[in-house]
Amino acid sequence: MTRFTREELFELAPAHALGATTTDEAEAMERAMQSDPALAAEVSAFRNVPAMLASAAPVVPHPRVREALLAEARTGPPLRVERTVSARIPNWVPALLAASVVLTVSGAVYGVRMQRAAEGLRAGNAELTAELRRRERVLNSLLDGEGQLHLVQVGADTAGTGPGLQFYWNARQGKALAHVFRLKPAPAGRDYQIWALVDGKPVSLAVFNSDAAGHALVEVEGIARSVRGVTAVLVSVEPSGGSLQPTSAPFLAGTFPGA
Amino acid sequence: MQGGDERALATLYDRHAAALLGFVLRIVREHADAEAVLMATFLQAWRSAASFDGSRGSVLAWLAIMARSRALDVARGTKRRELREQPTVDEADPIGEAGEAAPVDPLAGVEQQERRRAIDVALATLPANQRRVIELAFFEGLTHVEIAERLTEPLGSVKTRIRQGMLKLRDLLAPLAHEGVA
Repeated sequence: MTRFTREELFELAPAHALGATTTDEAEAMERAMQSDPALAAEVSAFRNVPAMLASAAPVVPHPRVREALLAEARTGPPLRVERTVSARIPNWVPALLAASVVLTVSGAVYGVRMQRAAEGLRAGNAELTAELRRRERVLNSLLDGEGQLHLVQVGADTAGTGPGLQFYWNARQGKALAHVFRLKPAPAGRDYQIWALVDGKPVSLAVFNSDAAGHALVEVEGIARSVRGVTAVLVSVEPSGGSLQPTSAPFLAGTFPGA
Repeated sequence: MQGGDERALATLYDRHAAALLGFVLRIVREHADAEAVLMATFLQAWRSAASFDGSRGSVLAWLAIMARSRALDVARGTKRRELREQPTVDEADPIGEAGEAAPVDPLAGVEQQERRRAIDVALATLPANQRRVIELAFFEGLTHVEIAERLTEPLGSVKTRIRQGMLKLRDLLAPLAHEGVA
């Protein structure tokens, strides 16, 4: 993780408002803005520029889009988001949402076209709404971590070819979310197990398996609310259902931030 | 809208949909994709209305950030798909045929024209190299590192151009924002 001085962050404010910062920079900006109102104000002062650029060449949408939108909105009230997403959302959350964007957009295309054909819209919308609700629940559980949300990058080589996972530890509520990728399913009779290394000792966090595409999104409840002494997050292969202690050497590891 | 009032959603849509559709179209090109992104953006706004924080920017800025993110994802997916196959008739089929969109309200049209002219003038005051990097960042979703690679220019120069261009635009476009346009 790159460290930036306050001066460097202020220099980055225009680029951040424009969406031109790298992931590293954007994460640093979002973190810093939470505790630095002056920096947040500096970025905010530039946010109307992209808004103006966006509004330069309006095109009136077809009335059916409006009708479809309002019909979709009637299927459910707004979901509560207790905190300010834009103010607190770290840069990795859009990355997490990227997967849902494909579904949402394709779902929207589907819904709109079904509306046009006047058939199947309700079923499609219900399915999309259910999926959106599930994903927003996941998102909210992360946002609720506030300043006590810790991200551990486990495995994943820089070439972007190896397996890995992102472990989002919401210490405020004792929850976590593990986003697993490029990890082929464990063989029959085996599962993967995630461990926290606390004061040098492994503590089980979750047991899971990945799907055929190598993905898994694991919601973890009831883990420690304190991350004191946590130095790493590890993954090992264990007998189905998991083990009390690792029975094989961890094959993925990630250093806990600040450890 | 944070209270779940659908009329507020309709008002928000009526006020900003055209601006956002034009913006999204510039990124995704395909009319049907753009309208799908537009609808998904407003649904996201509806379902996460409580997340809007006015201290972080205007409503339009909030919507534009969401729309841009979705549009860039679609554009990148489209680019990947185009590498694999030619678009089918179905994929090219817009929600409403091209040109079917409703006419612009005359008064709103005048305001839009004035706004567009002001934005064009502001952009025209920028040196071409500043305008270029800002457009690459905003409309193509490139980071300053990627822009430097694309233009084969030093990263520091790109960063400086973005900063200088944004500073000028912020000052030049401030009157529009203060008129309540944003």
